[in-house]
Amino acid sequence: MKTAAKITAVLFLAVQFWQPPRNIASPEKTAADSGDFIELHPEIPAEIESLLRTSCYNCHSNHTRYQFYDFIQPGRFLVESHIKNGKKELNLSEWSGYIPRKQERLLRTMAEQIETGAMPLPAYTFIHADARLDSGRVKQISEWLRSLEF
Amino acid sequence: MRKFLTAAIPALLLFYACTPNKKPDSQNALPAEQNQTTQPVNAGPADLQPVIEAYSALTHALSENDGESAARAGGELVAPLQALLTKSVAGEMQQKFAAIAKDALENAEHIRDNAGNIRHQREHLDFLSRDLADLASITGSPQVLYKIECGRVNNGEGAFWLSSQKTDNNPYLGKQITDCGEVTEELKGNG
Repeated sequence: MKTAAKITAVLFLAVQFWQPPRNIASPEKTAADSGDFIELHPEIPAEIESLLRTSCYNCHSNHTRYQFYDFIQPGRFLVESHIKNGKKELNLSEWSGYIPRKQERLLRTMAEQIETGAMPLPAYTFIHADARLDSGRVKQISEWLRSLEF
Repeated sequence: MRKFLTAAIPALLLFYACTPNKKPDSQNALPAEQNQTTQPVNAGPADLQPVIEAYSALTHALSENDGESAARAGGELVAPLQALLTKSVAGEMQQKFAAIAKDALENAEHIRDNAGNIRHQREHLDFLSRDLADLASITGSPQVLYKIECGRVNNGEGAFWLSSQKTDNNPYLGKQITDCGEVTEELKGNG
């Protein structure tokens, strides 16, 4: 048992050094930001902008704001997995790269996902308390999203 | 037991750390981007035939509130749509054609991957139907298709689906609702 514990401890320390690249602003990524969602909607109420950045942008953009605990392995793999899957479904940094039909669908899905509580991910809000959306905030955001014209 | 644990715990850690997370999807397998030296073939009505067949299976499944069958039908849409993406249309419609075909493929994949969530599948049906109607108007349709619209869906915004018949079971609300579905357009066949 002691040997197993020692090996586990060594592996745990070793895996800390295995850090994938961060999802942060870099010259290449900034060029690829073919139109950020918030920038493309200058009329967005300040409160909603702030809620989107805190509750959505970490997984659904090219600019994750990392906290120190995000880097602790093997948790870091989970964080990057969330980001990878999040960006695949919706990348708010590349909003204007979507055809209007897809934008319309994404807006509808965004509203529904926060209304049903599927988003933000419970695993995310468990750690990021400031990202939690109470029913008032959900209503505020989804009403605004649904009000965008197509 | 001790030896087993000594091997098992680190092995589990390594396994967790090393397991890749690959899912087959349109980002990994877009045939069009590989065929840059060959001349793309023109897309025509016949190319939509397998798409329409799988789409019909999809609307039928959703009208029966059968998410599993709908997911299967969504999966059956993937190959013909990928094939469509290897083809092209003349002139300035090409960009729109490719964008809509890609959108249709994404919607099909989402339907395939959401067997347990009919509501989500129906959302994608809305957009998939628009995509298919647009594709049919660009390449021509192999058969007559009717656009059937139901104004009750999406909080009154409404949605349509395509059918080979003028009266059809409603995929958005299930076949119990027979009074929401009005033919608003007929897409002529020219295949």
